[in-house]
Amino acid sequence: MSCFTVNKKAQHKGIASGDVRLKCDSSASRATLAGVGDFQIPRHCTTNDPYGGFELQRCVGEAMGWRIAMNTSASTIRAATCVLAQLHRQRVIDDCHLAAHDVGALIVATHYGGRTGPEEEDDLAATTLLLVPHCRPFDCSDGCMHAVMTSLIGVALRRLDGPSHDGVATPTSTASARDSLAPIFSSACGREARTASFSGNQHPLAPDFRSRYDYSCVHGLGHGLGHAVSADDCV
Amino acid sequence: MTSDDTPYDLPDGVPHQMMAGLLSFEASLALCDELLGGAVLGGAVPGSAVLGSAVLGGASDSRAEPQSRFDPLNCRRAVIMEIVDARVAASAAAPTTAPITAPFASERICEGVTGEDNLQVRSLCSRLMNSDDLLVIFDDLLTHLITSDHH
Repeated sequence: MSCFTVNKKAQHKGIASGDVRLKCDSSASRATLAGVGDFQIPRHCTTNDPYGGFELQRCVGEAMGWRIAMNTSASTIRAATCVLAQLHRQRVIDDCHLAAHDVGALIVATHYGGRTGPEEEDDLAATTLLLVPHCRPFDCSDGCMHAVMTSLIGVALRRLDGPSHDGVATPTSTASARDSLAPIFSSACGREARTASFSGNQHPLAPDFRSRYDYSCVHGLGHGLGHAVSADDCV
Repeated sequence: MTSDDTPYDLPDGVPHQMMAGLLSFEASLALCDELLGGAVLGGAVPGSAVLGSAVLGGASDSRAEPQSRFDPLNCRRAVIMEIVDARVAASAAAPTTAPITAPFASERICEGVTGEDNLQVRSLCSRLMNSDDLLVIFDDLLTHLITSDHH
């Protein structure tokens, strides 16, 4: 079964569906296609955006995110980002950054969705280490990593903030935010995470991998912090 | 052919969509510096908690991993990208709709933002350009906005 099913646009470009499987299978991770080997672009994605633009990318990203959200593991995250990158390279979708964003956001949302009480809180640092390293750096301009970090930062800050009322949150103090985010940052950007990411990614640019991982991780931290800023605080 | 899957709905409690207002702009930039140990790495952030080295522990091998990889400016840049992109996305007259060619002068993108709906963007532009530190970031932001429609 093919890794994905090409739409008419892709077929006109002579893209074979088997190409994606081949590319992703060449990774050192033998389980690269775990859970997504038979991924197909949902029909409604191409119906709503037959020209392969913004909407198609988001639609494919959500579909892929849901595909792995209930079965999130290092293998499925790697597989999802790899397949999205291949879909982009083969011009099935115009870009895959936002698609990877959706995958990252959905796997965190699924993990934490509906959790409200402290008794249901888990170890954020451990979850970070489980998720972040496996969003393949280089793929889709690090969209998965940025989204996962952004979402995890949101989880941490909301715990500090407590339940919001009417959707209005109270800004958190810098000190408490720092103490809360430090474990996430340490887990995401530390050596263990980078090593875990590197070990499963025999990327052609491997010599630059550590540098890229560090850069992307720090950048992801900033995206998460920026996402938590109130509009009113910016003017 | 494609699958017959139906559209999806996000579950309740999606972290991505529930974050606005949790931090102030100043706090977010300060956290970049504190978490990355700005005082140690760049010396530009007096009084920061210098958590970077402590947070990362032994992770930062000074020989193989230059400290610049943990540059607070990279973090600050992402903060500002996120904020301004949100403003641009919310703007009816997004600067990205008009072609802007090199050189990507900071003033151009702010001059291109007009109208009452864009006051927030203009204010942010002004604020960014009045800071030597953030000017550099804003130039990068321009490139980002011009060359992409995401983030």
